[in-house]
Amino acid sequence: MDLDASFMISASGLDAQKARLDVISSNLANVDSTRTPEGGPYRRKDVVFSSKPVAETFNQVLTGVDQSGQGVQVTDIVTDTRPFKQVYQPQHPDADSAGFVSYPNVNAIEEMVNMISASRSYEANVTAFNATKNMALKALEIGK
Amino acid sequence: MEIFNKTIGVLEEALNIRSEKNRVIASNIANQDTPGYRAKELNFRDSLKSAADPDSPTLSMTQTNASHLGLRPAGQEPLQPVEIPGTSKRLDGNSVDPEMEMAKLAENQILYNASIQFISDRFKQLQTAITEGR
Repeated sequence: MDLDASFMISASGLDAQKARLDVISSNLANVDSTRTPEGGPYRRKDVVFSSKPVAETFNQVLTGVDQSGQGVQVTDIVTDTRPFKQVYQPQHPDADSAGFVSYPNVNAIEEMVNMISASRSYEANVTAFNATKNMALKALEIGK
Repeated sequence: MEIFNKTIGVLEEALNIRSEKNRVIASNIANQDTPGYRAKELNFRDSLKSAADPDSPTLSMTQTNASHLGLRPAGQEPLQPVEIPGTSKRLDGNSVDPEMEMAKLAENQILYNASIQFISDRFKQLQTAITEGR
């Protein structure tokens, strides 16, 4: 039944959007972090999505037919190379000799916009999942 | 007498195509944020036309290969999704239109349910005939 693949595709979409939300949360939480384990201020991170064929279903193995449904996955988490924000705070312990502190290159507004986009995409995947579920349940009613 | 006549065969194929179509729509929705992804769809009209063709192998339940469990008659190519023509309006080259996909998802689901309803009704008719209308 092809609905199996639909479930897996929607689940991959939910998974990817959740990973994206995790990264956005991390960016927002560290909007003012001037120290990190790697040294220096926090650098903004971003996810890279790519489409991938869903895992082999029983039908695919049996018939050898590639169902070519495309799920999605997070292939990489990249760091943003934009320059840090320079704020004049001579009393700050991380200030340089000129009195400027490097703050993370995170723009809170940009993150909020991304967050809403991720949240809406997540909802769209939930809707697709529910539609598939209702179809599968309806098919069980044949002959009742 | 053909008890399981052509109605059920056509409806069965319609359900198969509807579920494949659901898979393609789910793919598009899952990939709405993937850079460079091109939205796809199934050319449903042509395949249903060929399924309703009296000479189509879809209607006969022949099975020429033992590994086929009656899922699809031998010799018939499965539907392949094709890219929806048109250029992307987005900078990342993704051509998925989320609103359109959600509309297609709802439409496809309703029509799937309709086909299920038809099959159920057909079985009810058979039941009536078997029990002589009692």
